This record gives sequence, structure tokens and C-alpha cells, in this order.
Amino acid sequence: MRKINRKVFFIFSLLFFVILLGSAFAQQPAGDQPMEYRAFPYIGSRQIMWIAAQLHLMFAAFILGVPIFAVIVEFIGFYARDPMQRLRYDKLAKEFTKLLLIAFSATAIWGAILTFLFITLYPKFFNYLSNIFSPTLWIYPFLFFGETFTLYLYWYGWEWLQGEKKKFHLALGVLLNLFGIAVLFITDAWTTFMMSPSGIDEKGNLVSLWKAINNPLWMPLNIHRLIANIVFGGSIAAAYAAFRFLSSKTEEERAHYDWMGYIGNFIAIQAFIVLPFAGYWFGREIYAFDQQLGITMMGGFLSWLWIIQAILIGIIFLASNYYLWIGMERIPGAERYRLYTRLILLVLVVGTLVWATPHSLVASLEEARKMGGAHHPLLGVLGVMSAKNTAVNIMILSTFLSFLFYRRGNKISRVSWAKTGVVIQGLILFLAAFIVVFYGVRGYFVEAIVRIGYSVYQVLAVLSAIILTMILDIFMLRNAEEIGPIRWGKMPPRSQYALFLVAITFTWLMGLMGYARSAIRQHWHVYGVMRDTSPEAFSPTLGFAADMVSICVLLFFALVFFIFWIGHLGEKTKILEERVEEEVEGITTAKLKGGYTA
Amino acid sequence: MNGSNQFIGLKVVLFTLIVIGIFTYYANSIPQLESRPPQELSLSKENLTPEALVQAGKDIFYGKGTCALCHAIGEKGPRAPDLAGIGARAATREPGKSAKEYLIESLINPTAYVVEGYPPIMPAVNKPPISLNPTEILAVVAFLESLGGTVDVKPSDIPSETSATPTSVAPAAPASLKLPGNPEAGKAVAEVCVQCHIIPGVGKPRRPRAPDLSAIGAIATPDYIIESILDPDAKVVAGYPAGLMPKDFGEKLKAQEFMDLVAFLMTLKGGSPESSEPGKGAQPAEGQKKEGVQETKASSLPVPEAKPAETEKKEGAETQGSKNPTTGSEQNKSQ
Amino acid sequence: MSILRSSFVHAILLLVIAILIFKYGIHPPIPQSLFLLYLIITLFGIFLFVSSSEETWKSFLSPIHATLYDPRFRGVRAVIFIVLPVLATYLVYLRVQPKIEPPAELRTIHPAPPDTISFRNGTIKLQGLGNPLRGDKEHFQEHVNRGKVIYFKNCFYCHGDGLNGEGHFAEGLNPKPANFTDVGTIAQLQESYLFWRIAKGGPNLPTEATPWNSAMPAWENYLTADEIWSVILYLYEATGYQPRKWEQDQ
Repeated sequence: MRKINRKVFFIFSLLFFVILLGSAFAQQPAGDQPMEYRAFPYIGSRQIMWIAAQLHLMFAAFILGVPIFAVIVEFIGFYARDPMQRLRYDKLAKEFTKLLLIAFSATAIWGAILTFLFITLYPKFFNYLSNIFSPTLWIYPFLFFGETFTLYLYWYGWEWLQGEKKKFHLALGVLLNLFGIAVLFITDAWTTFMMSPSGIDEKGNLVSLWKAINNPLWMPLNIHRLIANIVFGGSIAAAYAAFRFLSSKTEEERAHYDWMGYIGNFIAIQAFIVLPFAGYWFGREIYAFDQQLGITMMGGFLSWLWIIQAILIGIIFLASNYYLWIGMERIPGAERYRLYTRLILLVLVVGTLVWATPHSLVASLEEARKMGGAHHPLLGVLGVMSAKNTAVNIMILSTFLSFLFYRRGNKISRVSWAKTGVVIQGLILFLAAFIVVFYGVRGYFVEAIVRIGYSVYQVLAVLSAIILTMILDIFMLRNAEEIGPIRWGKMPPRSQYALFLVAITFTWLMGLMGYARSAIRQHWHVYGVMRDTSPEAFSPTLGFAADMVSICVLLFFALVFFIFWIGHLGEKTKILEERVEEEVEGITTAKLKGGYTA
Repeated sequence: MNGSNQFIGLKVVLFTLIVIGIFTYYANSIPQLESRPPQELSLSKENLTPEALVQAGKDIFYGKGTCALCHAIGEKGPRAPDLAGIGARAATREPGKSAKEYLIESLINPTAYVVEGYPPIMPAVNKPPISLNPTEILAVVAFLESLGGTVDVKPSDIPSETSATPTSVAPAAPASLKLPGNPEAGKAVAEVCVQCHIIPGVGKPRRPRAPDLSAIGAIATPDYIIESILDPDAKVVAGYPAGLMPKDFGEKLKAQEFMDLVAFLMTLKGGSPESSEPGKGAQPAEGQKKEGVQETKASSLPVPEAKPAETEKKEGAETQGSKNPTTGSEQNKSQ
Repeated sequence: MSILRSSFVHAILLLVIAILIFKYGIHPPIPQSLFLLYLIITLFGIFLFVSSSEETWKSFLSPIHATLYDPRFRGVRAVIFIVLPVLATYLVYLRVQPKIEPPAELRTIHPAPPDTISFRNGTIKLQGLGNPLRGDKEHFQEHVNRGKVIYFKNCFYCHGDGLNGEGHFAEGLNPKPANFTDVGTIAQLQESYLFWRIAKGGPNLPTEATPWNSAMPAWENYLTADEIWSVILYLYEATGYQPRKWEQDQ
């Protein structure tokens, strides 16, 4: 650990230096003819930038997402009544943070590589952006430094800040997240400026830095990325737990990693449920900023990308529900709900089918002749937004229902109004589903402008139904009777592969969406302001993008694998392991004996 | 789990590879579209035939202009009107406006006439990010006219305002083309002309028998000037007799002198009080064809459009005359 | 254990039902690409179904396990190990074999008519034009009868005696002759549109109607304007459709 620590500091100082050097270098005109582009040998500028940016982004998403739920888990532990629970959550939060610590250096390395490549390969463009954003470029390294510093305090101060001082530790965790979010918001400003430039005059000169930062797409992307980072961090942590689960040798270990995988997946899916809404907002803002941009996104050469997106999201929904359903096997009493889970599966499959139905399709001449034209009547019905929005909302409701069943798997409510409560919950969910379907169907009969407004009603219905049902559920299951404890660790291996599937699919989806976000600018560096005049100004095909995304995802997993392996090595140091175990056991026994008071 | 956790690493790697492989395969099996950056269209004089224009316009319609994203031909688009038969329909949309005028204005100022039932979402095609140059707009209009109408659009129909000012960070237009002539030398040549024409800075005729040329550069295209020198009777300004101007200037002037003269005349952007007298200013004769409506139309060919930035700025400062058609048309509309 | 309780059988049944629905339940049939997409998603769903509880998963695996390891099924095993690779080979062959098939194309069935057309030596303005014979109430039936005669002398070979595009030559033509009884053809068009298409035929289709493979002759070389108008009259009378009217405005 110590060694890694020193390395990380070295890398940070390097990164800081690079950024300063970069902005200085970029502002220096190189002779009369400023170099606009350089070509990267063999691989090509586009490809190398793609890989560097994507990997940096993936690691960054991980190190921004993980602290959010590490702190959440720590808070849960802090407020837990049961001392055993307390300890378990605390240990889990610490384990998440350990993953974070190692991934931090990778983020910095890829950030440095990205900056280097950017300066050398796209000097003119970098110069332009740094002209606009120079103050943020100065603040950014300090924020990053602050984040690193807080992280070290957070990690190394873990044992020191226990007991009475735990509050300070929690505050550190919150501070860490604040730094992380600030860093994210600054980078988002650069990114979204390229899509929706604001705060500049017609010639592209800076008028207002704040307007350039607070461009129309800034907040939507901030929120979208923030939520997506939680999902990403959760799914990767769950995949890590799944791996440890599969390779663990003792029952105890298995139980712990089973539980960790569950928590990771739980957090990921909770955030994932709201992600489509954030994405929808982002999309609408794109339309509002520039119709052209929006239409390129949905109707132009990218239209098929959304079909793939639908399939991938369908897989994520199905796989994470599947994980819950298998998880219910280890909950005594949960078999009561098996029939319902089967129905949910059916709804999810049908939802995915509807969502993945393309509007225009590939058909040979013979097939087109049979269909009587290039348009199939079924596609006219299912291929439009009305059907897809409805499908997504119903899928979200179903996933939520899965969670409800999981939650009450081994519980029997003790409150007097339990029966009524279930009926009310059912009514609320049914009503939400009805509203969703009603507006979905009605959408076919009204004009486009009215139809767009309908999806807001659908979203509101689903969100309020989820919140209401959850509140009811919390009260209903308060002090509920337990049929039996969850048998952690009693999970078949295939459930863990579902966690891998979620992590892989989500990572891949993230890469694909990055391509979509970047490709809608088409041949512009900064949309409508600065054209890409390099030979690579064209936007590549979906197949090419998929190849690139796959390469990035594989590289990312290879690096993560390597990093976790290093982390594992550190753990193998017997002495440390034993000491920690002794410590933990000591505390546990002490607490179990009732010596613990808050 | 007995012994099954031996090759976990391998299994997980295999699983990952298979999943990613399936995703990649599927993404490669669907229609592959590439978005190419648009090409600048520049048509030389000889290929400015209606057919070539229509073809070029069609390419722009479906490609660079991104029109087809919203508009469909032969079916109702979800966001924009059906353009089938627009060539015929455009002429009837606004009283007193020809199809050509209607189309040009709709492209450059899309909110001027919005078809009922559609939201006013169309971007001006001459502004970024579409940034069609005047030649390209010309081609698009030609294409639209070909849909049920007759192609009668000419380069001079596209107002020069459409030349989108390339922003400082945007790369300059492909190659800056200037008129080949030298305006300074042309001034000397123009001494022949002041026998009949008024040309400020050169001289005043004792008996002005021909149109005032003091603002000719602002209202005529090089093409028009060239044609008027070589074949003076092709287009005669209203109120002046035909056949007055000698037809042999084309033979008398040397090629260089000729180009110098045109270049010089193009620098005349008005400013002298006499020139603003209505009816007496030099008018491109085609203005006359339009039911006698006096139009001062600043027009520019694709060639001068690509001038270096300084001249463009200057032009921008003096496009008073060129603003007239637009204001005029707005008045028309309000009637 | 009853065979109906086996998850393996359930899975196969579900798959068969899904295939039947996707193949025959949707009309008109969906293209292969979409069928495959649907099938893959359904397969994934079925897999999740059988493996989502330990019971069903075991019951699903047991026949597979038995086939692979049970000595009693040695014969079945051998057959499967031969049939599966052969099947895979055949599928690969089907996929890679060169097919004689024209590329998919988008064709506008009803291209926009021009404003004016040349007819014989004059020009005819199509915009706003109606059938001149329709106003002639006195001789209306005469015109229709004349049109009927002309139709059966010239048109019926392709468009058929039922006016449904199933004439003697219809099978040899691609695209097939227009079916006038369909609500999507003459019922949606103005009479001047029909006049244009009859007069100019396939050779003079505009650009958006590419490829110009319509076999319709240009009848302006054989019929007079009056004869064409009377055929049009007959078409509407015989099918019972009303021609589309010109909108007053625009």
C-alpha cells in the first residue's frame, strides 16, 4: 500500500505539471503557420484519442461513483442499530474505498496521457479551448489535488477516526464527494461547450466564461453523468465482489462477498432506474438547443445506435432482475413470490422486444415486396417513441416490483393495516402502469408536440408511484417478523455471472453512449463554431465505433483486473490479514458483549 | 463449488470476451452509415446548367443541407411540410412572389413563412452549422423548383448576405478567389466610359446618356457587367434606349484591360448623391422584368463571395442597398 | 417425473410458440433481420426463465446432462454430435452462399406530378385540372362505355378484367401493375394524376420514382386526350371510387 501511495503522489505531481506545461505550450504560437493537427503513427489520432479519453472516463467514472456509495454505506452503518450491522457496513465502505484508492492512480495516468495527446495531436483546438477555459484549467488541478488529499485522509484516517470521531470521518467522506463532483462539473463544462457553445460571440471569442461553463447542456450532462457514475461504480464493485465470491474458499468470505455484490448491484440498479429520466432530459435539452443536433442524434446516421442501446438496457434490466430472483432463493419465504417474478420476466422480455423494434429496418427486396413497401405496419406502431417510452416506464416499474418482493421476501408485516397496505400499494402501481399505457396509446392520436409532453406525465406517474409505494413499504415492514435470516453465501455461480453481465454491458453501453454524444457534433470540434478540418473529420460507422468501444472495454477490464490483482497481492501479506481479522473479531466480540455504546 | 473455483479467472475472461464479442458482432451486422463532412460546392460557369444545378441541389438536399432530416418528398414529414410539387406551389404561396423568391427567402429566413401546423424550427441554411454558400443555396433552390416547376434560378438571385461570414476560428474558405483584374489599372480604362456614364472619381460626361455607374459594384454581379460590356443590348436598363452603347468594346479592349475594368467597376459601391435617384441608377435589367418593381438587388456570384475577410467587412458596411429587397419583401408580406 | 413438468420441455415449447408467433402471427411477415433480433431476445428471456430458480434449472439441465453422460443414450449422443456440426455447417453455408438478389431499394410509388406536361403537340396544365368529360352529364354513360371499350382493348392485358392488377401479363412484371380496386391507388389521386401517368407511362417517370422499371407504355402515342379521359371515367365508375378533389387553397 505504501508503495502505491508514493506512486500516486508522483503521478499527481506529474499530471499537475503536464497541465500547466500544456496550457503554456498551447498558447505559444509556433511560427507563422500554427500547426492544426498532427497524425499519430500507426494507430491514428482519432483512435488513440478515443482510447485515452474513454479509459480516462471509465476510471474517472469509477472513482467518482464509488465514493458516493462508499459514504452512503458508511452512513447506513453509522445509523444502524445493530452493532454487528454497523461493523459490516463499515467494513464494506472501507473495502469499496480500497478499490477506489488503486483506481485513482489509473485515472491520473490516463488523464495525463489524454492531455499529452490532446496538446500534441490537436494543438489548434486545444489552444482554442484553453483560451476559453483557462481559469478553469487552473482551478481544476487544485480541485483534483484536494480530492486526492481528502481521499488519503479518508482512507488512512479510517481506523483513527472511529468511535467518537466517526463524525469527522463522515464529513471527510462528504468533502471527498464534493471535490469529486466539482471536478466532474468542470470537465463537463469543457465537454458540453463543444456541443452547445455559449458565451461566445459570432467569431468564437469568449464573452462570458460563466455562460460558456453554464451552457444549455451542462447541467443535464452533470446530472446524467453523476447518476451514471453511481451505476457504473456500483456495477463494477458488484462484479469485483462476484469475482471474489467465486474464488473464495471459506463460507465466511463467500457470505461477505455475496452481500457486497448484492449491495453493489442494489445501488447500481436504484440509480439505474432514474437514469433514463436524466437521459431523457439531456436529450430534450439537445433538441431545445439545436433541432439539427437533436435530429442528427435520433433520426440521422445514429438512429440504429438507439436500437442497440435498447437491447443493452434490456439486458441490464433482465440481468439485474434475474440476480434478484436467484437471490430470493436464499431468502426463506421468498418462494411465495415466484409466480410474480415469472410474470415480471414476461413483462420485461416483452418490454425489451418493443423497445428494440427499429422504426426502419433492413429488408431484402423480396421481403419488402411481401410487406408491401419499406414500412412494416408493426414497426409503424412499435418503432415510435410512444411505444418505447411506455415500454421503458413499464420496465422500470417491474424492476421496482422485483425489489419490493426481494425486500419482503422473509418478512411478515406486523402492522394491523398490512392487508390494506398491500392493496393500496398494488393500486398505486397499477394506476401508474395504467397512466403510462394510457398516455402511450393516446400518443398515437395526437400531434408530435402534444405527444412529447405526455412522456413527462408518464415519468411523473412512475416516479411518484415508486416513492409512495416505498414510503408505505417502509412503514409496513417496520419491526416486521422474520421467517428466517437471509442465507448469505448460498448463491449459485450463475447469479454472479449476471453481475458480470451487468458490469460488462453497462461499461460497453457507456462507451457507446460516449460515441453517440460525441458523434452528434459530426464534423465540428465545437458545434457551429470550429470545424474539424482534419482528414478524420468524418464520423465513423456504428460498427467501427463498436470495435473501438470493445477495445476500450477490454483494456479497461484488463487494467481493472490487474489493479485488483495488485490489491489482492497486498492482502496476501499474512501478518496484515491476521492482524485485521484479530482486530475485527476483537471489536466484534467486544461489541457483542454489549461493551459498545455510541 | 467444489473445485469449480479453480479456473475462475479464465472463465470470467471467457465470459467477458463472449459478451463483448456478441455486442460487437451485432453492432457490425446492422446498416453501417458514416457521416462525412460536407464538401463545398463550387460550380464553374460552364457547368451552371439547370440540370447540373438540380443534381447538385439534390445532393445538398439529402446531404450537406440536412434538409431531408425533416422534409420528405412525396410524404408528409413529421416535422416539416412535404416538398413534393413545391416548385409549383411556391409560386402560389404568397401573392406577388415568384416561386424563386419565395424559396430563397424561406431558406435564408425560414420563419418568414411558416406552413400552418408546423413549428417554426427550421434553421437558416446560410448560417452555421449548415452554412451553405450562395452557390449551394442556388443549387438547392434549383432542385426545389425542379419539383413540379421550372428551373429559372440564376446566380444573381441569391442575395450576397448569404455569404456566411466564416468565424475567426473556422478555417477560411478553400481558396480565396479574387477577381483577376487590377482595379487601379481599370480606372484608367474607364475613362472611355465617362463619355456617357457617370463614374465618380473618373469623370462626368457632358451629356449623360447612359446609366449612372457609381453604385454598380453594389448592385450588379461581375457576370452582369461582363455581359453588359460584351453585349450591351442583352439587358437594357429601363428608360434608356437600346443600341446606344457601342458593341465593339470586347474587341477594342485587351483581355487584361477588360478584366481590370470589371474589377474597377466592382469597387464602385455608391455613396454619391446622384446615384440614389430612383430610376436613374444603374439597374440590372432583369429587375425590370418583374412588373416594373424597382429592385436594387445586391447580388454576388460565388466568385466574389470567397473574398478575403477585409473586403467582406467593407461590403458588410455598405450593404444598405442589398437590404432593400428584404425590407421590400416584408412590406409585401404585410399587405 | 412427467415429461410435461420438465423445464427443458417448457423451454422448447416456449421457443416454438415464440417462433410461431414471430413467423406466422404477425401479418405481413416481418423481415429476417427483425425476426432474428426478436428471437435472440426471447431466447435470452427463456434462458433466464429456466435458470431463475434452482428447481427449474436442475430440471432443465437433467436431460442435457443425461444425454451427455448417461451410457444409455450413447446412440442419441452420437447422432447429436453429428447432426449439430452439420446443422451449423449448413447455416453457415446458407449465410455465405452468393445470392442472386437485387439490392434493397427505396421507391416512391406515387411521385409528385409535374405542373404541366407536353401532350402530343400542345401542353396541358395538370395543376387544378379535372376530367373535362365529368361535367358532360348528358353523355356521361356514353363516355363511360367508350372508356370501357378502350380499357378492354388496351389496358386489361396487364391490369386485368377485375381492375385489380391481375391481368394475363401481371406475373411477368415487376413492379406489378397497379391494382385500381386498392384504396391506396386511384382513390387517393386526382384524375389529372391518372391522365399524366397514362399519357406518359413508365418511360417518363420522374427522378424520385427510380428505378424506372415500370412497363407501362406512354399512351399519348396511341390514345387521344378524350380517349384517356373516358378511360379514367370508366376506372372510377367501375371501382366505385371518387377521384380526389383539388384543394381550393394551395
